[in-house]
Amino acid sequence: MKSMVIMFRHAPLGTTSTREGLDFAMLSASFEQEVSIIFTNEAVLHLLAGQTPEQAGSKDYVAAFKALSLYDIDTVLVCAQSMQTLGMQPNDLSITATVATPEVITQTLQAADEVLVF
Amino acid sequence: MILHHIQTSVMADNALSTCLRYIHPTDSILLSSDAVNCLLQTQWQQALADVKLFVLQDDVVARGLFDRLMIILASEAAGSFDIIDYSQFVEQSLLHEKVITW
Amino acid sequence: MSKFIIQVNGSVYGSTASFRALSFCQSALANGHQIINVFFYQDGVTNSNALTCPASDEIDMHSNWQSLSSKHSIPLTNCVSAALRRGVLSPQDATENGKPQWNSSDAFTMGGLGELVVGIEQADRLISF
Repeated sequence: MKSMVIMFRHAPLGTTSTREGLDFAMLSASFEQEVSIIFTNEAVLHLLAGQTPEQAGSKDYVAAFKALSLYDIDTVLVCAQSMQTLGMQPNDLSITATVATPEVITQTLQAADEVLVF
Repeated sequence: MILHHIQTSVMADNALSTCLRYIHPTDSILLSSDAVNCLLQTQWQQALADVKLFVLQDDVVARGLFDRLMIILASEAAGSFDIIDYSQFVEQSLLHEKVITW
Repeated sequence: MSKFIIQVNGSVYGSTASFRALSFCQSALANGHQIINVFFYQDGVTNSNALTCPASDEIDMHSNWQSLSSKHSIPLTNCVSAALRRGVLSPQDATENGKPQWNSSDAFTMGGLGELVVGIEQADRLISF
C-alpha cells in the first residue's frame, strides 16, 4: 500500500482534467491505497453547491465528490489561500473538507509516497 | 525532498507559481519544455533564486536559448541553476524522494 | 537498478510531453534501469493510434513507442475508458461498441486504471509527462 495524494488544480467543467483525476483517486482507493485529495487554485470551485454541469456539456462528476467518504477517502484538503482569492468561505463547501494553509499542504505533499496533479 | 517537474509556460499556466506556493526548502525544481522560457524574465529569476533549480538541456538548446541562459547565469542578479541532460534527469528523479509533475 | 513507471498524459501530436517521456525512458534504460510499464492516460491514449500519418520529415511518436516497446519488451498500456472517449479503440473495443473500425495498434494493451495503481505500488518512481 502506498500513500497517494491526488491534487486538483484546474477549474471545474472547462476541461476533463479533474474528472479523470477523480476516476484515478476512486480507483486507487478501491485498490486499498491510502488516498488524500487536495483542491487548489480554481479547482476549489468544484466544492460550491448548486452546480448543474450538464448545462455546460459536462457529465455531473462534481456530484461524485460527495461519495469520497464511501471510498474511505477521508483526507480532503482545500487551499485556504485559493478560497480567499475566489471569495469562498468555509460554509460554502458542499462536502466535508478541511480548509488548509499552504504550510499544511506542503507537509502533506512531503509525507506522501506519490503525488499526482490533475 | 521532492523534484517538482514543470513543463508549461508561466505565461499560459500557473503550474510554477502553484508549485512555489507549496515548495519545501529541501525540494528542487526541474524546468522543461516551455517552462524554461521563464528564466528570461527578471521576476522569475528572482522568484527562483533561492530554489535548487534544474533546466532540461535539450529544451533549452532546441529553443535557441542556451547562450542567453549562460549569460543570465553569469550575471549576479539571477540565482544559479544546472542545465541537465536526460541522464541527469533520471538520476535526479532517484536522488529525490519523488517527482511531482505539475 | 531502479524500477520506473511512466505516465503519459500528452497527446501523440500537439504536445511534446510524449516525446520527453520517450526520451526519459530511453535514458533510464541506457543507464541500466527498468521501465515496468508506460501507462497512457488522458490525451496520452492517442499515442496508440495506428492511423496517425505524420509527414515524412516529422517525428512519429506512435511508431517510436512501438519500437521502444519491442526492443526492450516494455508493456504499453492504455487506459481503456480514456481511450474509448477519445475514439481510440482496439479490435475488441470496436466489436463490443458496435463500431466498424478500430485504430489502436496491438503494441498497446487496453487496460484499466488499476494497472497504473499496481504499477505505482511496484515501482520505485512514478514519472508523469
